[in-house]
Amino acid sequence: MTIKKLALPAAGILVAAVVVVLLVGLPGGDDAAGLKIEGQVQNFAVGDRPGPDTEWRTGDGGKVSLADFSGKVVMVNFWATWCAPCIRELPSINRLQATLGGEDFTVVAINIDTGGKAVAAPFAKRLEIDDLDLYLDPRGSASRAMGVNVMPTTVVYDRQGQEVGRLEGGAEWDSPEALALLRWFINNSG
Amino acid sequence: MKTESSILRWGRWALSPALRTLSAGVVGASILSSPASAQDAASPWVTYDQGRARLVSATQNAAGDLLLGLQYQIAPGWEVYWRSPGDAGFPTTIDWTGSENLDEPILQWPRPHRFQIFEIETFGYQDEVVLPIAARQARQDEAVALRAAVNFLTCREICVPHTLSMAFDLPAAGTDGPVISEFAPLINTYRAQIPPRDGGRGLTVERAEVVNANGGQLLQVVARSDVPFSAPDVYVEGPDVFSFAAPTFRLSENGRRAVLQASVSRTALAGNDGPVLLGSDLTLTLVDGERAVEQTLATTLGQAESAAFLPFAAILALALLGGLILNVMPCVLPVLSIKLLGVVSHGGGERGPVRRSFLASAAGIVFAFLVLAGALAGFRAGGAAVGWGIQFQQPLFIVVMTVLITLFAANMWGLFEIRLPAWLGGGVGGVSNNPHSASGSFASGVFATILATPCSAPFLGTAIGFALARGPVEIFSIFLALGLGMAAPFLLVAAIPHLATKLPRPGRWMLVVKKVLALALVGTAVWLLSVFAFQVSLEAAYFLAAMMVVVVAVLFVRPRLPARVRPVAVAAVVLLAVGSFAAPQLGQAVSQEAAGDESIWQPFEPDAIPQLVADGKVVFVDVTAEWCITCQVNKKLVLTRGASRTLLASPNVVAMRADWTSPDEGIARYLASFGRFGIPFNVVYGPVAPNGLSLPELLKERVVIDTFRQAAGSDLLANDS
Repeated sequence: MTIKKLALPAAGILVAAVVVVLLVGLPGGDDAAGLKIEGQVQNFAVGDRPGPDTEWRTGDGGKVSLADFSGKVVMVNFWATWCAPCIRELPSINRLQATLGGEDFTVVAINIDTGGKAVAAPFAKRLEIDDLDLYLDPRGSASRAMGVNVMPTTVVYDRQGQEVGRLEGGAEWDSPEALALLRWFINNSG
Repeated sequence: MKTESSILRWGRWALSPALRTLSAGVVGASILSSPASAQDAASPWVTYDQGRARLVSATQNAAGDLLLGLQYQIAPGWEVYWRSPGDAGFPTTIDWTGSENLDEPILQWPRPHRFQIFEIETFGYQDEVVLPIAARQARQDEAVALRAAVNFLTCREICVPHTLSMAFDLPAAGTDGPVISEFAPLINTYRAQIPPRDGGRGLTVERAEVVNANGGQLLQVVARSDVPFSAPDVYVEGPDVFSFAAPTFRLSENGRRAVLQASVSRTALAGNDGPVLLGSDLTLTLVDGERAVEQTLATTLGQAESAAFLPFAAILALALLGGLILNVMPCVLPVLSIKLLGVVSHGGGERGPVRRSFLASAAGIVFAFLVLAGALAGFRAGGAAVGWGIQFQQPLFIVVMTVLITLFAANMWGLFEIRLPAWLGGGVGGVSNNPHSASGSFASGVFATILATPCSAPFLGTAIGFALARGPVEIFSIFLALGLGMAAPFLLVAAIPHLATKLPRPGRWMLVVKKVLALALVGTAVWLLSVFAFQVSLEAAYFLAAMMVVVVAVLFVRPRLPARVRPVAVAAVVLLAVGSFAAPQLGQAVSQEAAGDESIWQPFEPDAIPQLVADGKVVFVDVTAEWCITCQVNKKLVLTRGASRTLLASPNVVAMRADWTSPDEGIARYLASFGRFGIPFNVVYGPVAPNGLSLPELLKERVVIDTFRQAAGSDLLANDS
């Protein structure tokens, strides 16, 4: 009998909730059409700002900058051998590059160890990072210019080299949520 | 996580080391101009987003020796690293630039804890720690100015490097002498947690051994404690290229002895010519609860003390099964067949004799295994290198076996009327009219067991290796299980004699079966001769073969001789048999080069392997022996054909063959280093597997190819050239 008594108010509250949700919009996630920020990448912070004019090194010592990747959506990941969460996520970033890397998208994984290539290359080799090119920033100029404060930090730039968002902390970058997020930027980057 | 990272976003950490140094310089300089009050005997707290830190002093003034401390108060869940951070992280370092009147500050390290960050082993501190700093006042009558740029990393789900500047002054003590500060107890509490070097606290590391097991390496640490261990752990510091997993431990001797095993991996492939773990110095911090000691010692080659891989019960079951399978192995089959023939002759027999006969055979088998166990345990206690099938390395043993087999064959062929080994049971040279006498059956059980040994490797290698690595109790238990396994069919017939009486009745066909079995025995004798030829010399083998032919011939003509000459024939057979024992004297092992066309094989030089691997070669080691049937099977079916052969012959591969046909201490030790005591044994070394990947006893081409690929590795980092 109490159930019956409660049934009507409960139904009322439910209907009201549905109406409120419809009016206000579903909480979380969707700020732009179709962009979902959830699961592995739930801490991804969307925010536009110009990409810095900074340089880092290739494994062979060549200079490289964001401009070299113009036309592609670029995911810059900073890692170091001393950073356990970086080491943890690096294999997933390697798989991400294998899955999504190409004409429209590339991962740029930059190692910031002071020891440079001598430290980073064998380490990457042990982790079987074979789909990613080795990039180095032993003096920290690029990481500083990109405003990196914690490790790992991953910054996404659009085809024009404009920052569209960043994630501080680790993630499984080949998870469906991460792939969906990056595909959204690929499809919505003019 | 979310709140954590949004808080962190407000931080102003200098990330790159260059920037860290820069900011340290700037901030340090600003603090220099306004040092903290000296009376505090501490610098002000420097707060960072995951905690705070300061410098403290055990004295309010400076009087010669200084005892300082770097005090961290760390936010929950965050870690600051030990002097060896483990597989990721970096330790605190202090740059004392700008300090005055300060000599030789040395950072010291209290006992850390083991933390797993994302399954990565790290060592460090949480919540609170004081790193003691021993230093000296350079000039006695002057104040000390402490200026520290403290560089450290703190990690939780993310890592944040920091450089903090701390400063304060200590006035000269003058004639008053040192005045203890409020921080002295705190610093001393943590100083007491610094693991003393080389023992103390009732803890000792007895030895550190490198054990090759399951295709990888284990570091095995044997430690003792005055009071029982609770949960011992060992933190290993050695050449950078090695990474040590968290160890498993096993306690014995009422918990006062611990064996810890940690698997070893190489952290970097840059230096394949880099250090080898065996023989390198390791600093071990042995930790048990609140107690810890530090010892530096060189690793030695060891044997897996607790094969933590299979529980004892599983090993016993394996031994039981292995014993059962032995019945159908080629070495034993003739003996078993003869036994079955005996059953057939019992075709219409009564149950009693059948039961007794089979029980006796089973007892013989079990007895023989126990004798073997006793011998092995004895040898082992005596420190001898023990290997399974080792008796086949003794030429005299082979002569005995050859003579026995030949007589056995002649008997089966019907040349004479001793049912072998009746000489064991029915009196010397006498004729046992009851071949199924208890003693005869017992002897045939013993005989079958001895013949079984060389066939046992593929099924029993694990169990026997395990037994030999353990104490006498394990050896006897496992050999008992082996014996019971092999005796199982006999026991079955003994339990249900009905089975035996169901067999067909004796008849002419039995004579045919007997001759076939006689041929099988001749085959076994020829195999023994080939072992003998390889081991001693071809001439010796021919001599032995000739003796046997004459024995058979004498036995053949004996019934045709006049009755009074027959005893002479018997004497001749005995003489010939005894004379055969001279065979080993004929020519000593000169047959090593009998390898024939197998030019790809190089002699076994374990010491040369690291260099070859460093040069980018893949090294294949085959430990083999003429008496090892499984080895011959591997050779014929895998190593000398198809892709394996191509692999072995390729220029980048060095094939080494270790011949264990004759006893060899070096090879025995080499096997032991992998926890093996029997052969066949094959290992592949390569740039990715400098410590070697061992192959299963029975080789398959697929496995050989895969292991080669695994050991050789492949190009991993695209632009790393």
